Amino acid sequence: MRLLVALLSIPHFMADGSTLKFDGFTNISLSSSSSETAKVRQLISQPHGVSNSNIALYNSSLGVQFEWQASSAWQIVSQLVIKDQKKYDINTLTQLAFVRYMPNADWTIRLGRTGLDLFMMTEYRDIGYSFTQEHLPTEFYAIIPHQNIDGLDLRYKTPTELGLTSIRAFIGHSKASIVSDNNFYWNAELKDIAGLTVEIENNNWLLRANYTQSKSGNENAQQQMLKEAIQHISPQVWPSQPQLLTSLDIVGKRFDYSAIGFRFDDTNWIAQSELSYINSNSEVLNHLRSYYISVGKHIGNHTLMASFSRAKSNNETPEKPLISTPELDFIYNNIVRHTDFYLIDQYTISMTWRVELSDVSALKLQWDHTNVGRLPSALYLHNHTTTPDNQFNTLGISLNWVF
Amino acid sequence: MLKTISALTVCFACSCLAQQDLVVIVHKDNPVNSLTHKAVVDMFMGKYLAFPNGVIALTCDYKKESQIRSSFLSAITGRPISQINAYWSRVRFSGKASPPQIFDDVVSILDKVANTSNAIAYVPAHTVTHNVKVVYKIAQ
Repeated sequence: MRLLVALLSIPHFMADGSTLKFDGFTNISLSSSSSETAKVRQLISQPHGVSNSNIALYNSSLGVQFEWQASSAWQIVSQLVIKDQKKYDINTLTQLAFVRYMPNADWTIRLGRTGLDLFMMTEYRDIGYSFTQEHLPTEFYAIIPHQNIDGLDLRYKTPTELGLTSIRAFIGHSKASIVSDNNFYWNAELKDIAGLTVEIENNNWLLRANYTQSKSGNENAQQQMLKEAIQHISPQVWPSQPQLLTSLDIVGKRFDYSAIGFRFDDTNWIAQSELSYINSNSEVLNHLRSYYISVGKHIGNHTLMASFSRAKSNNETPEKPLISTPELDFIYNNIVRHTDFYLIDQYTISMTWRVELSDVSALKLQWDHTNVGRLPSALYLHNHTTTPDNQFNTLGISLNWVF
Repeated sequence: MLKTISALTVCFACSCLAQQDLVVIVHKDNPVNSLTHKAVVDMFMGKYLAFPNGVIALTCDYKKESQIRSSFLSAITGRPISQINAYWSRVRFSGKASPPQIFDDVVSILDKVANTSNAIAYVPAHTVTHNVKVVYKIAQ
């Protein structure tokens, strides 16, 4: 009944000069990997990955967006996205839901759920048609599960001698799932998020810098159990027990994200690169440095692109207890599994071919060669193998369109 | 009857678009008399929605599949329409900017601009009426 009333109201809104828009996007993506150990996925929120040359549609997505433009100053935007994730409910499907107010051309205020502006492509990572690659660089983008933020953002944008310059500040909190082996699931919360993004856009160039600070808002059941387990172990038996106990106490720990990047795109060439540094006072993810560089050439309806992406963390495996018992060994192995979750050291070389099928659809094919310094890795799910294959190839082909 | 003839004339004109000049129009009482190429690009690519006097601009556009839209956006950016649509998909679906209001045809656009003080749009040059003002011209 409410829906009917809402639908009947639309012509009235339209008559007032406002408009209701409906848009959407679809990616049908087939992927396959030669790895026997790593189940390759594109985001650590995904509960599925491909391995052993199997072919799957896990990287596909469908999104719809409604935008009611009440006036040139006020708009309401809502976006729902269906993709491979652990839990499906209205909260996890809602990517955007905000009110936008533009008192003038320079200022924009948004309140509600907006995209989390951490990296250049974080906000549109689900819209395959928007970018050249078949999928975003795994080493750079896969580690961050958070894509949106519930809060407020304020943007000032104005023409300057350097080009169109915008400064955007945002505050809020965000929840996103982290999925790993053995049914590990954590709806990880970032609270007290405060970020600042500066962008300068001039003709074909875009320069961007971001700094975002946040705190971990919750812990997972595994962390709680490990803390309880090592609480009663004497530091005389395990000298690093106090530090481990502190590092496992993740609630309130600081997570800071810094990134700089550029994009050049003219009718012939496209180049894009970003560098990021994630810093935390938690041993779970101490420091992570990552970057990528992509260079492509537009040839008529075709674009060829080569990319290189790299990520390396400085997590350290904790010291063993001074004595060995079955109980201590069990606890130690679980702690190592926990602290090594973000032990990342890998790179990928990619080649992409994109062809425009129409004005609103594109076919993309991408081959990745990945060299992983260590498996298991937070970026993947895993098959249990005695000899991990640290080099593997991944092939992705996708049909992307917007409507 | 007169409106039907007018619409048919506009439709015929649009089918001959490749040979037509396109012009950017605003309300006849808009104090802005001309726009730079950069200002036109900024407005119709959703980058900066303001007239030089600071008044916020209400951009009006045609549907994605419209030939007028392809010709105009390609002409002002020098890019194929597929690249422009990819750009718009980034802007629209990241929620960073509001896309233009969409209209079915030139008649609707002319009517909107004639009745909205801060509206801006583009139409084939020969369809311009006395109710709107030309502020930028693209020779095809």
